[in-house]
Amino acid sequence: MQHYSDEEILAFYRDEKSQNMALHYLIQKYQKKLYWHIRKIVICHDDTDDVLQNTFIKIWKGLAGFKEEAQLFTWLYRIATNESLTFLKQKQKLNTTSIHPIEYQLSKSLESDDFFKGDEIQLKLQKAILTLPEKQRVVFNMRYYDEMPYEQMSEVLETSVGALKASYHIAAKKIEEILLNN
Amino acid sequence: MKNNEHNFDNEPNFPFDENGKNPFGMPLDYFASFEDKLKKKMELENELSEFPLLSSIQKTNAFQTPVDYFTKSENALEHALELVSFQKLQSIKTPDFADLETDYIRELNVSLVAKIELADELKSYSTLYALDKVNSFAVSDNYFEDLHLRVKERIYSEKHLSVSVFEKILDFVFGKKIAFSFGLALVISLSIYFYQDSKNSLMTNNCQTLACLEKQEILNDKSVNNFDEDQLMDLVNVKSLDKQLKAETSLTDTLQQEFILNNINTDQLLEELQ
Repeated sequence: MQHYSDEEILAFYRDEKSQNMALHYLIQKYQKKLYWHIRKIVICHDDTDDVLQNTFIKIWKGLAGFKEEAQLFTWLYRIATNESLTFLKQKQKLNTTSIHPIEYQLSKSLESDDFFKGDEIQLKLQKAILTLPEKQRVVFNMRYYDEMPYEQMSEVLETSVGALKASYHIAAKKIEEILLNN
Repeated sequence: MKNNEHNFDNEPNFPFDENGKNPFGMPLDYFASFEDKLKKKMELENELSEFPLLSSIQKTNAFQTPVDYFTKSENALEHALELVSFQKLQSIKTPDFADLETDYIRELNVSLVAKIELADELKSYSTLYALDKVNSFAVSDNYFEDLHLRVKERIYSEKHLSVSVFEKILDFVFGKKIAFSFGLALVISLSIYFYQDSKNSLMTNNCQTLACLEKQEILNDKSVNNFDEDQLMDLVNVKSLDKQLKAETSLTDTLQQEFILNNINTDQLLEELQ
């Protein structure tokens, strides 16, 4: 599958005749990256699917106002991150039956998730990650799994590199402690 | 050069080998062309002798070619010659991978440095470092295959919902603002019309006879033209009409008398009588 560059996709978008193609190429290029980024935040596959679709709809609606000073990739990641966190907040609000925080519910749902294929240690790791505050969780996932440079993370999360490094360090230490204690 | 074709017969300076053959060889026409070559060389030297500075400079090739240029160009030439017979293939341009390779090497370099940094960073967290970094999450079969279709469907369905057919037509004919003003004016004028109409209509709901109902209908519709004279005569209440006319006549008579007394003097009246 051929992937067009971000510049080419934006050029397709600007031309009314090829706008549909732009949407197609945009989804083709970024669907997997954004899916896995969202999935690690919202955990459940069905929720991820909802958030991913909402993310693409937001991206599409906002693409006209996208300033090319920033990279398309970081802008997409930012929207996906915000959508995921907003989704979790809404889910927490809607779930009035449980007194536990949403992270606890996500952790419990992992055990029965058909689409989670990890072994025991992977389950423990995911549960440990879910104990982190949401911002630290996002930082840890982006650094540990996506191996994103701090500079890029800084653009996505609009936080300084120093703060991100500190955040990652605290998150990794906490996870270590949890894993060792278990 | 055909070095394998030797002519040893007229070579007296070299000993023959065991088979009576001279082991050295030379081009067949060497001696025949030697004189000509010598003459040309002498001519050139004579020419150059007129330019002493030029003749003093050693005649070497100061130009160089890129490494393997000739090998590559030979291959390219061969390739071009092969393509001569294939017109369609000839028209296809060979992609230039030079830029791609440069970008690739630069990106590879950056990603390698990043990987090393990450590994170093992770080393300080021994438990995490010992773990295999795997993606334990899975997706349903062919999930990514039709995701773009689902997203497109949602985008276009939202678009369609937001603009109804009626709105489209109004928008096409008038534009939204004009359509809104027109609609508002229409609603106001209709409501005024119905309000006034209801005010004029008879509120007599206690009609017991057909005549009463017909009268009510005529008064409400105000369309007496549709009825014939006899019908109208039947509907008119003669007694009350007679009373009303009498009252109106007496009233007008009194008013007339008052007007005459106030505005006309007796002389004028006498003149009129004459």
